[in-house]
Amino acid sequence: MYKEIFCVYENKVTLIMRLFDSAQIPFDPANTDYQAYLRWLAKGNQPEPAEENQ
Amino acid sequence: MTNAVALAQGASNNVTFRNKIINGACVIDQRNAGASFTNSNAGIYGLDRWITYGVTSGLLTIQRSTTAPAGFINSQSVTITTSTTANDGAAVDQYIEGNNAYDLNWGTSSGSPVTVSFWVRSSVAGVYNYYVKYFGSSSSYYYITPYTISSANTWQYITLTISAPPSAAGAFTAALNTSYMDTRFVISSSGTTANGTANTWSTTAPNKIAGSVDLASNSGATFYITGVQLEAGTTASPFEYRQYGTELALCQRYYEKSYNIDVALATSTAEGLFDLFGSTDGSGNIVGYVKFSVAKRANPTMSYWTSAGTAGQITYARNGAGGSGTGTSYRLGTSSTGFYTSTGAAWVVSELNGHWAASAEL
Repeated sequence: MYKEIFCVYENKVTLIMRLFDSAQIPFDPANTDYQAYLRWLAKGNQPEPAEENQ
Repeated sequence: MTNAVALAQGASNNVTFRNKIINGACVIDQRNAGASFTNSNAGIYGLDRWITYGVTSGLLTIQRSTTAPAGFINSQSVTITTSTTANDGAAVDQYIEGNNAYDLNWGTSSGSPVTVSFWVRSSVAGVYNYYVKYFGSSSSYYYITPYTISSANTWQYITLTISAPPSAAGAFTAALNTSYMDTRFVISSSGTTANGTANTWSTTAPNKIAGSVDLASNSGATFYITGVQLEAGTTASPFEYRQYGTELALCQRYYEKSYNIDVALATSTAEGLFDLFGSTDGSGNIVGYVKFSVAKRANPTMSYWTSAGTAGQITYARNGAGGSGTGTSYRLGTSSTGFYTSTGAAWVVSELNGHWAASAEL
């Protein structure tokens, strides 16, 4: 399970939080945690939406 | 000229840094600092650069061990926690980055063979398998080769030479900071029909060669490796002992933390803590910044802990309040990251502290 992280300084979602260990994953195609997230999305899953005060 | 140098020059012209395996002596263990851990079915990184797979979560207990052959002080141990004969695939892998392997020219007519050498020990004697996957531009190709542990509970030195994959695999054209090859010690694969053909490149992923040991069928069975070296050429040179600081820096391209090297993650400690003082901004956030010791392979996955070890949080203190909040990374890059947390009050003097880890594993 994942959750989007909204960055107040960039005013957009910039990271994905992996909920089981609270790790923050960047949108970098070479990051293997991000690749795992994309595979999870491809199975029809959706992340929890971000809270804008993060 | 020493024998090692002569052999290395003959093999690859690299006297130093000929070993493409990082942490082959299994000394560096930033995540667990020597404590044991169990596998997950998605794969779990333990000792630096090494990832363990097991179809069944909790099947394996992995640890940096002090059981080692002469000339080494550590090994990586894998113990079968609960035996099973049903689909008990298990393996220990290290992925090698394109930047560190493109000189092999795999997938071309001038591809170089490689030789892997290692010390291995198991409580169950018999035939085991070593496997390489090449991420070719046309197709991934796999090579599986057997080796025999002739005596239980006895260290044995193994060398295996692997030919270059065929040109049909295609030259490596992916980004150089991605995986060039996956190297694997197959520990177990019972519950499946053997589909591996020894010493042949194939586009079919092999699980094992028929007749191989399925260690996971033996509760409490142990498997150790150390002194792992993979180098260009057809000759195994003596293990390349790199200086500790050099080996650590090689590991930190893929994983780095604020804790002392032999302090496990989430330990309650102030040693290595980032600790800064400043003002919150107009939103009530206080902002920090970390410069990594070594530039990462890719923008890393970030983790944070309070000094007490609470995951995902960093600690703040300001006039009238204190606590912890979500540590959020921003402007994250391969060399540094910013981070912030909300204190609930704008433009007040505050303190911010916590621990962090950055992971850019393959």
